[in-house]
Amino acid sequence: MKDENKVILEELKNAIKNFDSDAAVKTAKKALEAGMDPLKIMENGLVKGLREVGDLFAKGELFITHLVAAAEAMKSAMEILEPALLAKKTERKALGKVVIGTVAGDIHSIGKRIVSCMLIAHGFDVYDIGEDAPAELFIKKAREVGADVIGASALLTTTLPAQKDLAEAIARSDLKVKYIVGGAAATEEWAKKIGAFYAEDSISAVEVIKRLVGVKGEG
Amino acid sequence: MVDILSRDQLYSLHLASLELLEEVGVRVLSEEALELCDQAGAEVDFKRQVVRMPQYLVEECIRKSPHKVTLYGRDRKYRLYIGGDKIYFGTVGIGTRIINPRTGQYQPLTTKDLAEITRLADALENVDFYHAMGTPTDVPLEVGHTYAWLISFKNTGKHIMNSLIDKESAQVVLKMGTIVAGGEDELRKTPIMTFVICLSSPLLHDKGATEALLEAARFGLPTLAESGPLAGANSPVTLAGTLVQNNAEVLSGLVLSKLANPRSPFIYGSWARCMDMKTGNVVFGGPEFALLQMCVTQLAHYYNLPCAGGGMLCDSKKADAQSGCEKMLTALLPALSGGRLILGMGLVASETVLSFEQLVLDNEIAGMVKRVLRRIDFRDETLAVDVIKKVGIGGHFMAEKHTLQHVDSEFWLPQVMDRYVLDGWLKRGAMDAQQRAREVALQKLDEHKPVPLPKDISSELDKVIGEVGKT
Repeated sequence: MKDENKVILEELKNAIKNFDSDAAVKTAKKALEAGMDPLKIMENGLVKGLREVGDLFAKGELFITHLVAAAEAMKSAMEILEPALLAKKTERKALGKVVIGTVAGDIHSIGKRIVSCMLIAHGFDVYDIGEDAPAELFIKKAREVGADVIGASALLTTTLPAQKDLAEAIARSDLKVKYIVGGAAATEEWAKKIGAFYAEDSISAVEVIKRLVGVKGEG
Repeated sequence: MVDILSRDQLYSLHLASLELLEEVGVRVLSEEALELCDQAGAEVDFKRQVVRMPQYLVEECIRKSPHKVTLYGRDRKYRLYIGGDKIYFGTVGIGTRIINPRTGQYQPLTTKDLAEITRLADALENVDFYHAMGTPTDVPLEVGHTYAWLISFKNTGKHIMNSLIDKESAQVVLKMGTIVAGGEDELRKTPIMTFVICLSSPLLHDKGATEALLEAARFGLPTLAESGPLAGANSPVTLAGTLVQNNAEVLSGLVLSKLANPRSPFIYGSWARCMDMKTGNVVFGGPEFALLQMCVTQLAHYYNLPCAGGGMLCDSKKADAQSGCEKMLTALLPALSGGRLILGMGLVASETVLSFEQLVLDNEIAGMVKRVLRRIDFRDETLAVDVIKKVGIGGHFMAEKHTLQHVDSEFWLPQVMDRYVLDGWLKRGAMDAQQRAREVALQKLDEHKPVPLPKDISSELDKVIGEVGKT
């Protein structure tokens, strides 16, 4: 590899490690202009940076806000790379595809956002469909992207029924996806009752989803 | 009282909140509320559902709101005067699980459990009002909230409150309250219940909560509207910034309530708290929550509005040393900041789990805090110079008339805290605080009967709930 390219990859990694969206976007553009392979830009630059941030978070040296900021920086840079990836028809090697959202009637976003960032940091492709999302939207998006997992969050006990509705909608559909629920209102018993998997917080969500897509051990 | 913020700082918070409301505004997901704001001269973007509130409108609404509210219990011996310097403690809860006091197991909350713990709250003297502590899981989820109200009406004579999630449930609960109070006017004159409305952050009011707020205001029932931003997550990581946003959110709730009915009593509420930076979870037990709650009390007083908010809360999962530290910290400090309602008794695991033992221990904490708040009785009689002269050098005070006269009012007496010497404690079974609290809880449940709801009223309430169940 050209020395110049090595420098760019290092810059990309550092942009993520410094939680710097602007630098990540700028450097991603520079990398494309230099004719580098978008997949390599992603995997040898951005992902490496994010993984280092994730490791430091796991060790307790960084806060959850750092992890979220690093994932957001990665997301911004990915918007630049996405068209180039599509043009080359290269599939990125993600651990799996997760469609995530807050269920109908519930407008709370924080928990879902944290889980999204944790999943991105661990190498998943995450499609966040937002809040107050009807069951049909989950299904539509999952079909469109070929999701492995659907994750639904509910903070209010009154919106729990929407998690159940979604369980039924998935069962009725032809989708072969795993379904996981979370959020303050959900419990293990509830998940069992509606036939869903369950995670009590963002850390366990990553563990459970890794298991669901068949990733063994720490990957 | 302890002031964290200076008068100038309070003014700065006020101005910053006004700036947010005027420039950014709040998203209100209710057409009805948007219309009201439009008519009142706010700048409404109907497409984005965003309301920008001019400063004069917000300040006018603050001025219009009643400074004092008296809340009543179904049992008339319970009365709360809020808006002054009085401090009251009560339960709170969004719990769906309970710790079985007989086995120590965490179980899904049932209607029977909720009724039982409500009776315990009724029995404990420092529970000044009762907020339904959870949502029972053995009834359909859609009506769980309404059942929590029903159980509250039936099992305590104290003032009750609970959150309302939409217009329809607000109407059902108003119907129940009217039946219990003996008419709509009676319910307005002697409000035996308060609606709790949760506003969302940042600067976002959902449809259900907003319309329940309007419904309560139109009826003229006291409304406790609160927002609970998480510092570092959906509000700024700085506590001052979180206060600015929290204040803007509550004031926007106040405006909506006043536009629906200026006469309706509005209680300034806050659950401003933090996100834990390691887990992303909500944190209640820490020093930051205590500080935030002290500041919001000052803000409410600055506006001359009745105040309420979270307090005496913990992140610990059971009654233990952690819960003891966290509960006392977050009860005493907010209480020292001035008159308000403090909601938090009986819950562990950040408001999600009901605990009989913790409720008894919280009753104890409230007792201690109330004693501190009474301060020192300071007058010639209590300076006791005459008695000291009389007893003189080397005597004792135990049998003095002065001692017997004042001992009851001077000393707080614990029910659960152990004060035996070591051998005495060992002899009595060497029980820790949780075990002793459990014994008190079970004994009170055995002995205590709340003032019963008349049979005909009770069956009328059942009828109302029955109709809800059908739809």
